[in-house]
Formats: sequence, structure tokens, C-alpha cells
Amino acid sequence: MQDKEIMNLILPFKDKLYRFAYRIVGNSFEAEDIVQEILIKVWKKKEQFSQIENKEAWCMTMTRNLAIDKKRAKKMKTSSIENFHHIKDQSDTPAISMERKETVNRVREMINSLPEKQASVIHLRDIEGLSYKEIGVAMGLSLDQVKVVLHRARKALKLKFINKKQ
Amino acid sequence: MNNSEIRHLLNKYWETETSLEEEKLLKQYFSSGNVSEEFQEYSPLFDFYATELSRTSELNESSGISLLEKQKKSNVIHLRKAIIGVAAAGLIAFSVFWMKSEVDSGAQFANTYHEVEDPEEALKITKDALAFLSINFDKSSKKINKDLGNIKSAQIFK
Amino acid sequence: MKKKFIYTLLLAFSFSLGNSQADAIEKYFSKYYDDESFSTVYVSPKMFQMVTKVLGDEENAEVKDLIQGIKGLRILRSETNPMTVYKEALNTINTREYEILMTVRDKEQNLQFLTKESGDIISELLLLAGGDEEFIMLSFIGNINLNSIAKLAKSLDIDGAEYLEQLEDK
Repeated sequence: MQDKEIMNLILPFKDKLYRFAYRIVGNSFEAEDIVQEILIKVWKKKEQFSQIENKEAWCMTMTRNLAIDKKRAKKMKTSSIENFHHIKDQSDTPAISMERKETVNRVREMINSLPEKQASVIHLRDIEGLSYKEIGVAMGLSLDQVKVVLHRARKALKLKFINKKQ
Repeated sequence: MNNSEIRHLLNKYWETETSLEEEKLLKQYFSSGNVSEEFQEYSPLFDFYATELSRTSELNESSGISLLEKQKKSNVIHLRKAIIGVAAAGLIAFSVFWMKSEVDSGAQFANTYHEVEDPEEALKITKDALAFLSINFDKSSKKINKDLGNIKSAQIFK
Repeated sequence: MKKKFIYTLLLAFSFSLGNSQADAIEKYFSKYYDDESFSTVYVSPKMFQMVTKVLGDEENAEVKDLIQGIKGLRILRSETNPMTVYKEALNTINTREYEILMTVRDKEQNLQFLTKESGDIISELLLLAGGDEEFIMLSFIGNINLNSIAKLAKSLDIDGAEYLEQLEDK
């Protein structure tokens, strides 16, 4: 496989990988890094990769694993670096008004406060619009497990909205 | 869509009974800018979904290809380091010849087929390979001569 | 006059060797090119023509001599099951085509040197090395002078310290 072919395979879903990585690591620098790492991984295993039927799901799984590893490693670092990322990253959220930004960030916090699996399933379903089957492949879950996790996640999310109102 | 339809869809949504199609309808409704007071509280949620979807990676074809090019170069450097490491150890003392080189424990050792396309790089690799070859050649011929010597002296003792 | 003719013939012959014939790695081990546990580096005959142009005057005389004779270089390396790969490689190489020059076995490593000859000239020299940690195979195509290789080892011994310093800069 030529480099160009690899790029053509990856580019159609690079944003999906990026957003999934962003969901987990929470900043654009590391999310961008992860996308690059995925590209290199694919290139290193290009023969294997060309045989994979569901390339997108494979990449999503890799993205999740890498992102979780990164997040774990980051926990070891000082909080000052985290703060730096946090501040720095505000400037790079999509162009929306300050007010909207705040409400959107509050929702992000709600979702991020869910267990990782639930938050990832919500992300894949409600942001990316993946089918249960696709989510299952990407997350390594059975169809039933996906439904259960999504159900719990939405329940928990609704509860958070109700609590917020009161 | 009227309020009762939306209410119905939202309830289904919270119960995880909506299809992808129905979820798309909900997203469309909340992005229409004409959300009924009744459902306002959930606006931020669907707003969040839409905002997140607008995030994009900076990766593009040319940046990706140049990243891969860089990766190839570093592969060759790793291979060079491996050979050099072994050859260098041989220069210090043949007894520790095969001791592991300082190559970063192989963890980063990337693997691929690479044809050298830069004469300077080719020269470096060739010199390393020649050093590796000649050191091993010298060491082996010395060892063989020594072994032959031992056989001869053993025969003398008989 | 006659001598000159033979030289020309030899030169033409060694060129054709470098250009047309596959080296042992290409012939027996190209299946590993796609294997992620192997790395391969290849310097083509065309590249060697350019290498001789960038050779500086300060270069070690033996290195210069040797490089001018080389028409191709291929290196195969792996860190995965090195001893198994080494043994497999020894079994794969046709010993009717390649003559074993030296075999060394000891605790840390195993080495085998093989040559392919055309008349009195070595047209390919192979070095296989297998230890606990890595397997390396080198194939030199061209006109390889064993005396120069032995001499190079001695000069490296002398220049060793300097060579090391150079390496550490990289």
C-alpha cells in the first residue's frame, strides 16, 4: 500500500477519530497527536490493515485505547499542566458565543462525569450517529451490552438535567 | 413537528428506544432555532452534540504523507543505531561484542522496507555495515585460528 | 593490451552482476519485507555509483577501496525470535550456490560468512549473525576483497577511538 492510499483510507474518518480522542483526553493537542499516532500505526501494519474489513471501527478502537492510555499517563503529571491545557483549549473550541460556550461546557462536564464507557457510548451514538453494531465493534461490546450502557448513560444524563433544574 | 410529537420522541430518547432516524429528527428540531419553551432545558444537550460534531482534525493529505516520510527516516536511523551499537561495542573489546547496543530497548524500533535514496545516508550505512563486517570477520578468523592451534597442541600431547 | 582487455571484461562482468542478479536476501527472504518484525535497508547499484562521488579524500583507504567495489548492499534485521530466524536462514540458503567461508558458534552469538564466487572473484558476500537479542543479515554485492576487509578491521582497531567519537555525535 502506498502512503497516498493509506491517507485516502484514513482521511474520510480522521475527524471522527479526532473527536473521539478529544472526548477522552479533553484537549486538542493530544487529540491531534493521537490521530497522528493512529496514522503511523496503520502505516506500520499496512499489510494487516489492508485485510481488515471494518477499518474505521478498528481505528476507533485504537483511538480509544491510545486516548485512555494517554489520559492515565497525564494523571501522573502536575495539575498545573492540566490547567494550562484547559485554558489554552478554550480558544480553540468552535466559534460560538461566550454564553453558548458556557452552557455547552456544562453539558460536557456532565457527560465527562459519567463512567468512561457510558460517556464514550453517548459520544459515538449522539454525536457521531453510529449504529449499535458499529459502536459495539469500536468499543468491543456486544449489541446487548451497548444497549445497556447507552440506557444507563441516558438515564444518568437525564437525572443530571433534572437535578440542575431544581 | 408539534410539541406532542417532540415530547414523545424525547421520552423515547431517554428510554433508549429511538432509532438513528428519530434521533436525527430530534437534532434537527433542536437546531431549528424554534424550540418550544417546554423543551428549552434540553437545548444545551443537543447544542453540545452539534458543537462537538463541528470539531475537525488538522490532518490532511500532505501533512500525513510528510509525517510518514519522517517516520521512514527515523526507521533507518534506528537500524543504523543498531548496527553501529554492535560495531562500536566490538571496537572496545571483542569479549563484550554482542552486548546490547544502546538502541532504545527496541520499543521504538520501527520496521519496514526502506530503499536508501540519499548518497550521504547510503555512505553512512555502508560504512557501518563494513565496520560490522570487518570486525566480525577479524574476530572470527582469529577464533578459528586459535581453535586450530588448540587442536594441534592437543595432538602433540598425545 | 591483453591485460587491459581482461580488466574491461571483468568490469563489465561485475557491473552486470550488480545490476541483474538478485542478492541472497532478495532471493530467499523478500517475504520478510512486509513482515513488521523485520527491517530491511537496501542500497541499490545506482545509489552506489552516487556514493563513490560523495566519497571524500579523508576517507579510510580500505573503506574507499571496498566501497568502490560494492554494487549493492542489503541488510535484514529482526529482534523477534532471532535464533530461530538465524537457523531458518542458514537452512534456506542454497549451499551449492553459496560457499560457507567461516562458521563461528559461541555463547553470545553465531556467525556465518558465505560467499558466492564467479571465477576467483567474490561476487557476493553474506554475513549472518544470530544471537539472543537480534538477527542481522548483510549482503554485499560486487567485487569484495577479503584482504581489504581484514585490513579494515585492523585500521578500525587503531582508529577505533576516533570512530567511536564520530558515532556518538550522531
